Amino acid sequence: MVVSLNDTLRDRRSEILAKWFEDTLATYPSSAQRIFTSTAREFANPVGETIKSGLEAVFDGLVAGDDSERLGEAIDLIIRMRSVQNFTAAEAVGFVFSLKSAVRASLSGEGNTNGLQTEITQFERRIDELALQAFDLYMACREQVYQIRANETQARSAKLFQRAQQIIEQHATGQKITFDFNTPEDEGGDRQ
Amino acid sequence: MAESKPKPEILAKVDYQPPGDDWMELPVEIRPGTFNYAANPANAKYLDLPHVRKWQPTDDDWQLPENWQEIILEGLHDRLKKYRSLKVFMDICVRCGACADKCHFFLGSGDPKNMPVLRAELLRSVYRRDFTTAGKILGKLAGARPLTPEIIKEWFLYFYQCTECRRCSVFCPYGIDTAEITMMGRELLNSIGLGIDWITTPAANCFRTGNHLGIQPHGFKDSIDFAVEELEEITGIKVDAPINKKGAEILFVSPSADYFASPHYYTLLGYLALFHEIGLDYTWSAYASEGGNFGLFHSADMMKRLNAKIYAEAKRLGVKWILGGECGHMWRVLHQYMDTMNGPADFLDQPVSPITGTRFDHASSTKMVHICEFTADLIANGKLKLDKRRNDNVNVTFHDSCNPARAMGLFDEPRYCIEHACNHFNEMPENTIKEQTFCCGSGSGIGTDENFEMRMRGGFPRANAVKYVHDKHGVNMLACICAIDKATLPPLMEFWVPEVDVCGIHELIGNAMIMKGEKRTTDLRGEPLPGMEESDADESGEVKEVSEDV
Repeated sequence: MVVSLNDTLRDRRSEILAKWFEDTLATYPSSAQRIFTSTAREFANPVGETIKSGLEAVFDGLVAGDDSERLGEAIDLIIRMRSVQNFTAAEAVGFVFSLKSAVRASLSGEGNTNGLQTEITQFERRIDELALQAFDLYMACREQVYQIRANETQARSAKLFQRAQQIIEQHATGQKITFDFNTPEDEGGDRQ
Repeated sequence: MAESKPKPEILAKVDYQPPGDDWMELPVEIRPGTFNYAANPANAKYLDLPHVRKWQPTDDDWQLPENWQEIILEGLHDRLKKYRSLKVFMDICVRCGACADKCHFFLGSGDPKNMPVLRAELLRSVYRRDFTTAGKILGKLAGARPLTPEIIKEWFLYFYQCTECRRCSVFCPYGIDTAEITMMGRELLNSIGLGIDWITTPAANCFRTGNHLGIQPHGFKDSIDFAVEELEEITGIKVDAPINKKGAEILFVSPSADYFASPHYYTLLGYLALFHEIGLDYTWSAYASEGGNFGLFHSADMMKRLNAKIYAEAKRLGVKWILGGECGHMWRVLHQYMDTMNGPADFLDQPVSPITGTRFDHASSTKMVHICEFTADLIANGKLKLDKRRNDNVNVTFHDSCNPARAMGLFDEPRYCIEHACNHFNEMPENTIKEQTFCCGSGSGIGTDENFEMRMRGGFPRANAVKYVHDKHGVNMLACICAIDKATLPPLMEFWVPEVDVCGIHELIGNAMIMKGEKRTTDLRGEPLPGMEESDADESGEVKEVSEDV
């Protein structure tokens, strides 16, 4: 009887996911891994829970043949999180490739996997595509960080900017200006 | 809450071994996005701070003063003598691990030095080496290490990666308050000229003009007048907003961001509308024009220096008592320090609401009442007409700001206000609210632009809980009562849960409140007010079909 790769992956789901989770957590300091593995209370361990549920969704999506949009949604939160943690770009998205070794490790005990080679190659190609997509998401997150920083700077003095604009307009139309716009004294100065 | 005696199962976990791991060997990494810029020398000089110089954390040489070790060790010695709590905190930790996974920075980053136990150990290891016999003899084996420039760099990074939120202290069986250890660490750093700009510059501005942005009295008046005009445009009602009015019954103090930042500003409009509607005899002060006190994040002396203006202004203006706005750490300073630092305020009266007659007994000594307590009391006594439907466009959850929650136990009043102003309110999970609330990740003076990535990490546990109620209940508004929250939760939400906006409680009250003679079709942000679109108000401004929640 011929068993498809997808059936095998479904059968081995928990084993493969456990290995992938372990390899992904290994990118964090050792003392953190112990805590991120704990599932004591859902909101007490957001990093561990995000990785765990995200990897499950991505794995199921890959096996089910989901399109890139759905896979992107599944992986978004993990990438978002890792884009602001202590990782380089390569480290942040590198965990995607660990799925290959998790799958290979799971199949290695299975004896002859020759019949599945084509499917394995195709599956691994999908993982490669997902890694590229993850990198795009990573870049989008980084760009978003800079955009939010710019927005935040403006919001912090929003009403003062608005008032300053009003004064400029009053000046332009020749109206009497009723307010000396305040700037910090020279010796005080603004932030560097 | 922390219990008075440790339970046997906690004691059974006590680890008598010297710290395992190699945390002492981990190198210090000054990574962009995760540290704060050094203090602007001009502002440090303005505050007469010691060892002022131009430097940045990215420099190899931080130009420490020649006798820096002596200054630090003497400073530690003095503080151990002055604060018994510090001495106890240095000696009593048994490394039970209860705090390890409670810090939002650790939970968001996985960096072991963000475990509260290790953050304290940064200071404790130096204490052991120079102040305990075991440490002097056994050195590293007893968890001790000599003071080196690398350790100073480590202190600078990690004492400015703690928001002094005190969540860890809730779980410590011995009640060790890591925030106080961080405060001591920062005091020592400041004693050798290692302050950060986001604290030093607002403190200098505050010392000079009374508020963080350095707005002078005429600028302050213009800002308040501007808000009065905007409120008139929205409601059709011209309110009175007295400034420096001698003999007013109440002095109102709020964070300065309320009158220049967004979304704080809409809360300011809410206060102005509320005070008008109840006919409160109150005054603003152009000098006590800041509830916040960045001295708390610098040193005890600086905190006292900046806080003094509130009582000084209350005395000068001859008010009876003080009402405080939606500010976070102002309430920690008030509840834990102000009374003994600059009080007792014997010259003020016992606070009594002039509208309801309620005596605020808990404020007998400080003479200062939180606006949520004041407003909840108004609602409970039927003094406000609130139409909840006007907030039907928002589905609210409440973020307990760390200081009002953990430093003053203000849990019920904000919720009471929200529930009487909104039809849709959903709580976040139990272990993320009230005394277990997760910090915004940007408090205690580290909500800076340059530290943005660290803030996104530290805010992740909070955002994760918001995301949960957004996904489950459709929550789209995060209410809070702290100016730092209002500044830093919007970018946090934009990154993690972009569908959720941020507001203050008095913005919700201001939207729901039916004002006498009002003519309004929009909320305080100028957006359509549910149930009050053009057709609901006739020419005379009379309101049709409103239910009154009184």
